Amino acid sequence: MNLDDELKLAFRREEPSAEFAERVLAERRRGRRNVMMRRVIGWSMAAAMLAAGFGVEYRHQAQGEAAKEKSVLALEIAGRQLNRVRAKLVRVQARNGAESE
Amino acid sequence: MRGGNARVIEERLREEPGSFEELVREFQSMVFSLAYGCLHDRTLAEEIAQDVFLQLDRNLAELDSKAHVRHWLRKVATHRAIDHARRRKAWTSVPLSRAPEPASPEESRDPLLGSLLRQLVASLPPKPRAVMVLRYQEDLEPAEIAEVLNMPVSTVRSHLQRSLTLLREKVARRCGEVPL
Repeated sequence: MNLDDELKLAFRREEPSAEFAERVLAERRRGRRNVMMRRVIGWSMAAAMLAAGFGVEYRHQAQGEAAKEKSVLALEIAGRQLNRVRAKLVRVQARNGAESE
Repeated sequence: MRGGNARVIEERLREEPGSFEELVREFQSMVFSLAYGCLHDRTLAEEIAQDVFLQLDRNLAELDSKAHVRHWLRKVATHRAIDHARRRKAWTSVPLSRAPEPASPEESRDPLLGSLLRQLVASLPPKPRAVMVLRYQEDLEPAEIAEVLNMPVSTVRSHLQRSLTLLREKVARRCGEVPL
């Protein structure tokens, strides 16, 4: 008996079960679907965070615009008040000037 | 003619890896047998073989020829099988000289000798076991085995020599005949 030859015979390659290749391919497809799902979720979260960031920025801007408008209104009101006061002063000065003559 | 054959072999070795499915079908026997030879457990060998192919899928872009794929598969499958064998711990604590003899007596040498030899090899510690499987299943030379297992060639030769000596002794005791 030649041990080398017997060992080569004993260790001839064997086949796995008949469904082995199909199982590997199915597992590969499942794995790829999971990777795609994780990517979609990741991108969606990134997009949502970006949209939220834009929303905050827009609100700040909008608040700034409103503040500007209020400031302008306040200035106009103050201006009108000043004009009224000036007009009254002018009337009073004019009356005082007429009385002194 | 020789030059022609060498050219054909060279061209075959440079063959494109092929699709993943083609590679699974072509190499499933090799990968499964490597794991089974090391672990002597069909279910576990199939699990390991499946993991190896899924890992191949993730690394396929880096492999540029069928020969490269074959080499990669041998290396990864063998290392995974060794890792599993170590984790199981049923084998590594048994020194080569005290590897157990199989319990089943053989009535006729031919049909059972192969089974006896597989059992004996399966009782070796993981690395000598892997060396034997790569030598006798894959028909690799010691230098190629050393490359697959990342070990010195001298260590490979030493494992082969000691394992064969042990197998001869055990077979002689069972069969009453000293194998050459």
